[in-house]
Amino acid sequence: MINIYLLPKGSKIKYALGALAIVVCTATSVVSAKAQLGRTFKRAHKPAAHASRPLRGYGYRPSKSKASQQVYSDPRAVNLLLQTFTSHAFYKGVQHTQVGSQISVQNVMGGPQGRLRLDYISPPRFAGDVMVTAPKTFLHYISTKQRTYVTHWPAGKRMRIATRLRTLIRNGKLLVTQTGWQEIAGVNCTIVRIARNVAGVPGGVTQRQVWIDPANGIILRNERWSPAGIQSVSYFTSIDMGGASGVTMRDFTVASLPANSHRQRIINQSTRVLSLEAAEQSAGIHVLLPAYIPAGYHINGIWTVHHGKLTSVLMRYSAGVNHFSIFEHQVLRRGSSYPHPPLRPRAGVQTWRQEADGTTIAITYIGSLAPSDQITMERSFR
Amino acid sequence: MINRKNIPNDNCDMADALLPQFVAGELSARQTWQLEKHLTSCRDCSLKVEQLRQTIGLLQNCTKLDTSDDFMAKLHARIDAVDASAEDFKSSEQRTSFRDIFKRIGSVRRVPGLPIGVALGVAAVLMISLIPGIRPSQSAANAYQPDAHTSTVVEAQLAQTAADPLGDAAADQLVVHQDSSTLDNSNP
Repeated sequence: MINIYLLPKGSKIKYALGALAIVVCTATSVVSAKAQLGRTFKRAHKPAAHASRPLRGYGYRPSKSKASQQVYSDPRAVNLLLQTFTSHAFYKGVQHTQVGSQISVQNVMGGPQGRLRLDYISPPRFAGDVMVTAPKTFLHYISTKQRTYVTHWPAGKRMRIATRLRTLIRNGKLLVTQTGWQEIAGVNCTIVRIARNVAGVPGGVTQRQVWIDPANGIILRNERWSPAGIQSVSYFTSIDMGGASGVTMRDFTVASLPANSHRQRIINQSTRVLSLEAAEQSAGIHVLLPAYIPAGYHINGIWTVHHGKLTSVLMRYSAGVNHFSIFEHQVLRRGSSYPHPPLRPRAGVQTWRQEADGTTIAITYIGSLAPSDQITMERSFR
Repeated sequence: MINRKNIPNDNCDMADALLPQFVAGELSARQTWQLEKHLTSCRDCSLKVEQLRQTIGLLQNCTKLDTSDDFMAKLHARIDAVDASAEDFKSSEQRTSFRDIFKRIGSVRRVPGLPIGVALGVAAVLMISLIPGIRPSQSAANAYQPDAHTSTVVEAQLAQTAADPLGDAAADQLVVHQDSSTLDNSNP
């Protein structure tokens, strides 16, 4: 330490130290003022509409990402929603499903770990068909063909979906809120709304609205929404739970399906790949991609699906809990029946062919996009 | 005579004859199944069914007007009055036109049949082979025909949905089988 008073009068060192002290003080003042201004600037741009919402989400504090700064999920609604993934209740009832003007009616049986069995009553084209969902298998019996399609899932698929949902909620990309109560088929249900968090849209864009029995974690009404409105709705008209339902684990096995049906494993091997290049190598094609993807959607996973001599590439696009799928494979035989790129969208599933690097690729879209988005995307494959 | 029990997959004529009964729901279960099988592979016939349904729907939605009790009697009286005044003129016109037609047919008979037949045959072959719009194979190639692969991907899609508790595979089953007419995503 130097005592400047001990330095001789007029010393150059004395003047130099004085100048240094002035410079340091000025620099410190400027830095602190800038930091203060920065905080003020940020505060002024924080949206006031959602800033006042209380944050009580003990496990669901959103991260500091841009989309998640405004609104938060209701932890009770989140817990109730996740309870549907771990429900162990047996139940049996009648369910109606409506898409547009089409309606189907099914006898439904449910069980632990997401076991679900749908026995179709109507419409006539589906009557007698059965869908069975089990932890590792999906069975689809089609009565007119006397055929059962069998799909095997990798273990833990259901839990991976639950984890993804939890992550989306935690990151603030999905907003889960409780909107009320309503009785469905004699059961008092909590209405839970799932919305995609979109900047500038207060409360987000509704994707699902589910009516959950809080006692058993069973969904009694499921509405799928798009920005245009309700896409589909399934709801129970009657339901028995527990021992009264008479449902057993055997109801969810292949042994419960008609014995004379021919079993066809629909996907011999379905593997998720890490890159588009790996998928292209496996399928032996140049995968075409849509130049236009509807707002909010992003590619969620790429799989290769093998059936017979063909290897298809499956690309699944997601926006929150809404999805659509693109399948691509090489057309092996000449004079194939696949049409050229579509002029207008066909709802649900649409297949067409396109040339790429001298080979013909068959592209299949499956989803529920708005017609304008669908046709724009289908025409943008390059 | 149409064999209504068996509809070949590519025979639109036979399917065409059954469409009105199909739309009215008057076919047997077997006929319905076979026709639906044909419709899944034939875009033209599917469009015809849709047009037929839309036409019937439009007619059913027309406003129904009540008429007076003697409306039909008055209408028939007026039609009879109009018919009586026009009958002489019409019958003379018809006689003239029939005579002309018979004359033309007679003149055609004097033309050698073989060259005309050959020429017509060649023209028909040329039309079928050169004009893409009426070539059966081409139109079949452009039609939407779900094949085994499409069935596979539909099943794969249903399986993906079924794994998700929020997925609703029953709704997806309706979505993948819905008609083009339900594209408007109208609320249920």
